[in-house]
Amino acid sequence: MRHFEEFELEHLFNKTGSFLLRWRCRRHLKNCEICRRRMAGVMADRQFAERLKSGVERMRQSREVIMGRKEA
Amino acid sequence: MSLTTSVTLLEKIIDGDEISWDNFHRMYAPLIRNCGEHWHLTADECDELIQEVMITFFKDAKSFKYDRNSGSFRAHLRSVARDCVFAVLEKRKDGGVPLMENPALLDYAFDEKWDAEWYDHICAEALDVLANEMEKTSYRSFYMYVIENRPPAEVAAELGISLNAVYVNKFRALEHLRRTIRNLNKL
Repeated sequence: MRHFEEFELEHLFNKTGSFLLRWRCRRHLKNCEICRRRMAGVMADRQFAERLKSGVERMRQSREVIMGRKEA
Repeated sequence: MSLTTSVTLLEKIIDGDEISWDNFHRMYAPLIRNCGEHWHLTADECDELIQEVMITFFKDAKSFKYDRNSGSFRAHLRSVARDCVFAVLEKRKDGGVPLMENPALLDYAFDEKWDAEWYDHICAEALDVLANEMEKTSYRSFYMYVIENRPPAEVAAELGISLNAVYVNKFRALEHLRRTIRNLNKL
């Protein structure tokens, strides 16, 4: 059976894509080390994205405060 | 995916380019302000902190050029910010937040907070680079899905792309961001 790409594994997190695709992914993950590692990579990406998002938001809020005080 | 290569402000500083007050302020004032907040500086004290750090770099000039012989810019900026934070705290008539008695512990505490803020700062710089280098629709799809946290089906519909494309754009963007952050961290 073929391996699954990261973008296909992403469907599992959002319950998107066809039911059949998600079922095949889950079944394949039980026995495939390569795809399980790929899945771990997808989860690590999600954590990285969360960290990135909070960092970017923090900088954006700070910039807004600085601009607000400059204009005041 | 990439048509042009953006150069971050940090890379320009390291290369010894002339940096204007406005560019430096726009990029580093949030970082310095966040650092001040960690030490419970008031809003006015944070303004003073930013001003003091800027003056240390620019003195009376409208631009500054970093001397690469001074070592890592990141370490230099941290050192200047640390000295300015402690100077602001010492000015308080009531003594303010009690500082630790052991200077080594104080430096360690400062550096730890600074490193976290620095990482946030280079994430923001990396995102600016991505916005300039990635194809517009691909970047918007990534931004809407990952940064704005919008449902992927909604993003796909609004941009007229497939759901798979939303996910592919996400992974490409994250890979690009990781690479940029890694490169910026080395400077």
